[in-house]
Amino acid sequence: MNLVLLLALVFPDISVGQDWSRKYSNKLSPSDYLLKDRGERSDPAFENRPTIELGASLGIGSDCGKVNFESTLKATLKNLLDSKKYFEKVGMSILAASPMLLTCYFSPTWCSILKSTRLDANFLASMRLDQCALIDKYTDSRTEDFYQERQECVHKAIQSNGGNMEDAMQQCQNGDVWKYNLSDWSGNGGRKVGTNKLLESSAKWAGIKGKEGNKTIELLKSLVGETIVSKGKVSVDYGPRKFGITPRTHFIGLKKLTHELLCEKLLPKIEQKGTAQSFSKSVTDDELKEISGNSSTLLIDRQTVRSIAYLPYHKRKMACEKLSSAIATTRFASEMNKTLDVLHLAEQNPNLPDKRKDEIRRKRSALSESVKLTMELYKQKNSPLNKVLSQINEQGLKLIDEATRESLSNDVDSLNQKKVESVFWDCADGIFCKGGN
Amino acid sequence: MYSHTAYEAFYVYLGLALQGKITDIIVSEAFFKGVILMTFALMFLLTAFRFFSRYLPPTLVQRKPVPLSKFLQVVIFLFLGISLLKMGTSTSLLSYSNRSWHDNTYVEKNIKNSSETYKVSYVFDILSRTSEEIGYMFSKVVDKLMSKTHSQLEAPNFFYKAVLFSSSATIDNPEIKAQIGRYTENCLDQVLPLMNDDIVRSKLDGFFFGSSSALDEKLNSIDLESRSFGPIGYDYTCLDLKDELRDGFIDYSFAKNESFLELIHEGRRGNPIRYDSWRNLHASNLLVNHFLDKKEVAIGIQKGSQLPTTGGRVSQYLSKVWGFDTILSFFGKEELHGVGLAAKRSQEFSELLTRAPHLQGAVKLFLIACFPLLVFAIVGGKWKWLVYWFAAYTSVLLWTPIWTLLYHIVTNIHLATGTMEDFGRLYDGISLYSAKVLSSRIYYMYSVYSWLQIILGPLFTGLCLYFMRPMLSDTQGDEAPEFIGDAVNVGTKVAGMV
Repeated sequence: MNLVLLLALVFPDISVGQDWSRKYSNKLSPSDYLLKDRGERSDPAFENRPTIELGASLGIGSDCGKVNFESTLKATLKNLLDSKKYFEKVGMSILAASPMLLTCYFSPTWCSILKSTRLDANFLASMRLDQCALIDKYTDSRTEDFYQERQECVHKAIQSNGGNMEDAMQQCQNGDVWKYNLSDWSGNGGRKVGTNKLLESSAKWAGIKGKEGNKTIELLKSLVGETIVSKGKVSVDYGPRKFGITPRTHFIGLKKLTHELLCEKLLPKIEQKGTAQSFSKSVTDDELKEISGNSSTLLIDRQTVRSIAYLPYHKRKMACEKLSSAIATTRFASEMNKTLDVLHLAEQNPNLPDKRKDEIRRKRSALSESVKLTMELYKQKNSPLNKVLSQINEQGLKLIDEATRESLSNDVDSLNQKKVESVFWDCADGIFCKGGN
Repeated sequence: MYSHTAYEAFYVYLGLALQGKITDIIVSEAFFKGVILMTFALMFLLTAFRFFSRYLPPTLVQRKPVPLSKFLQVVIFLFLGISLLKMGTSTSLLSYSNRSWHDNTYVEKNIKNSSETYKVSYVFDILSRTSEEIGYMFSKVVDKLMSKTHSQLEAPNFFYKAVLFSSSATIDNPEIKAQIGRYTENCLDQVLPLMNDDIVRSKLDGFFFGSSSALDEKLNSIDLESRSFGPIGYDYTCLDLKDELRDGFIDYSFAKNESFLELIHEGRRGNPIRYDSWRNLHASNLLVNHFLDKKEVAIGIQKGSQLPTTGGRVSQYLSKVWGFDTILSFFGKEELHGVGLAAKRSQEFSELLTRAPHLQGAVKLFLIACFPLLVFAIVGGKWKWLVYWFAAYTSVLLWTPIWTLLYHIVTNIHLATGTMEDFGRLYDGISLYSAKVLSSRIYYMYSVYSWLQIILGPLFTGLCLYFMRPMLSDTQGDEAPEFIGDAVNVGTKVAGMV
């Protein structure tokens, strides 16, 4: 490489666009195999898939005040019951509780009758609370925020009516419970808002803003999904992409993008222009910045681009892929660092309900694991195979060299033998003569 | 005329041809004829001046009278000088086996249209023939007296050349090389550590076709592969490989050196060792050089902590037992190791072998070619130049008996040492150790011999001329010894008294 650069300095007229025979060399040294990038630059299984609508209308009140059994809970329970593998026993417990619940939920009057029919009030209260807790536990957690709002309503009503729970429930069951306004998760002085966004609200609370901040939030949405809780609706937003991505697919995308910019766009342009203009003009700052992901720190410089341009095509392809991959890795690591930082900050948001904090914690943990795994697997994809190929080629070349040397040695030996014979059998003594002299 | 090598003969033929050309030029060119006549005229005038100086007043000239016979002498010198140019006879160049060199391969290769006889003058013929016969006689006497192995005159350096030719043998057959490599790597390396120390000097010899039941037993215990043969099959062992290698290798060695072995087998040249020993020496040297090449290859790929191959270790063993490196370092020939060792050594050997004959031939060429030019000196009255020429030529011819003597001395010394023991070991089979020892010893001894050849020949000629010069420059007239005068005086007195 140094030699190439030296030649370029000594002979500045040498064009990288010239057809040098060396540029068509297909021979690779063992160390070249360490350059080979085995990672994909595309993944058809995860690309171009349709947008998934993950928003769901609530229509349920999972608290013990009101259950629209037919339209919501029944459906939810059915889903749970269908999932025999995980929820079979739980589902059976819920069904066992449902007659009492059904009666109470449909009609508080009948419930009172039941109470008055010597049913143990304590038992009923206990039963009711247990069953509610059970349902709360397994019902879609998306309702929890509204459940809390409803609870707050009930608590306030109990405080105001002197502790009559039944009245409080009566009072709070009116209207669409799930259309309560929620406390603003971004703080904002405890105001109520119609819509809360888990990540954006937390980012707002943490003061993350600006172009870079928004970019990170958008990426984070794509990776872990933004939970949006609005009146009567809980949905997941994956940002502009409209679908979720994994760290691996993001990494592949970065590699593909870098490869396109560097290997398919910039290098052919240099090759085409040749010596028509100086190298510094052939490669602009904007192009280098674009390859570096518009980061303030450039991940590639002109000298490196020039060095790659001087390589034989076969080696250039390998080097370019490896460099694209390396740049993508750096960008990926930087971006993932930022997204995990945002999640870490969001987790500290005191305005979030505990459950939502847990959700962020889970998201952070899952993302972190996924990033680590992606990097580890990428490394495993390249290093062992490349190392083995390099070692095989090293041994192979050594043996080829040895075989070549052996072959040449045989030739040399034959020539030497002729030389020896010409020396000894020159007939100068009249005895050592070929042909009987 | 005689010559014991074609190198020398080549120069003599060139000298004779040049002599003819120079004579032709002197005879045909008017300028040179004029110079001769002018020289004669000058000499005649000078003689006449001296002769008549006695009749001239001493105040005018310094009287240096010469007798009338001086005129006769001047005329004789003229005729003698002219006779040097008269190519009236012819001469031929023979080996000491009385065979003409003109149809020798080396001579034919280097001289186009070489003829058996060359025209020479009678004077040259007489002088050279005299010298040649003197040289021939001394050479033959020395050769007969000192010869122990072969005639140095009829078969120059035969023993020395035969051993070094064997030492220069290399394997150029890839299959044989591969087979040796397989045997060395798979068998020798495994069995060598099991060998007892009682076979100290020739530890390797048994591995190469010698018969040792203990070693063969060990070799037989190493299976290389299973081969199908009949319903059962058998295990192909290192011993099988050794036997297979032996047959192929001996055949290869024999085919490769057929010409030489036939030469030896003729027995006409005479040599101190048996035919089988020569044959085994060749085969042994093939192996020695093969392993020396392997050593170079091993060093070539020996990077870091990589150990040399078994072949490399064998050559290290061979170098260590005789210290060939040390011997070569005496002569500044450390580079004679490894690849091309045989070729380089043969090149070196060739230089050693031909240096002295080339020197002798070149001096003879000069003397023969310059002979016609003596005409100018002789016509000018410098007849002693002819004597100097004769003395120089004879002394150069006497280099041959000196070298013959030296060769036989060196060979006899060499054969008086343990060399015969090593040859004896080779009679029983292949011995890498013996081959290595022999080639190293021969190379060493005859390197010294070749240098002595160079020194002693010119030294002898120098001494001859040194002692002859005062003899020829003595101008005092011949007188009877003093004791005769005294005896005469005494006798006269006694006679008077009587």
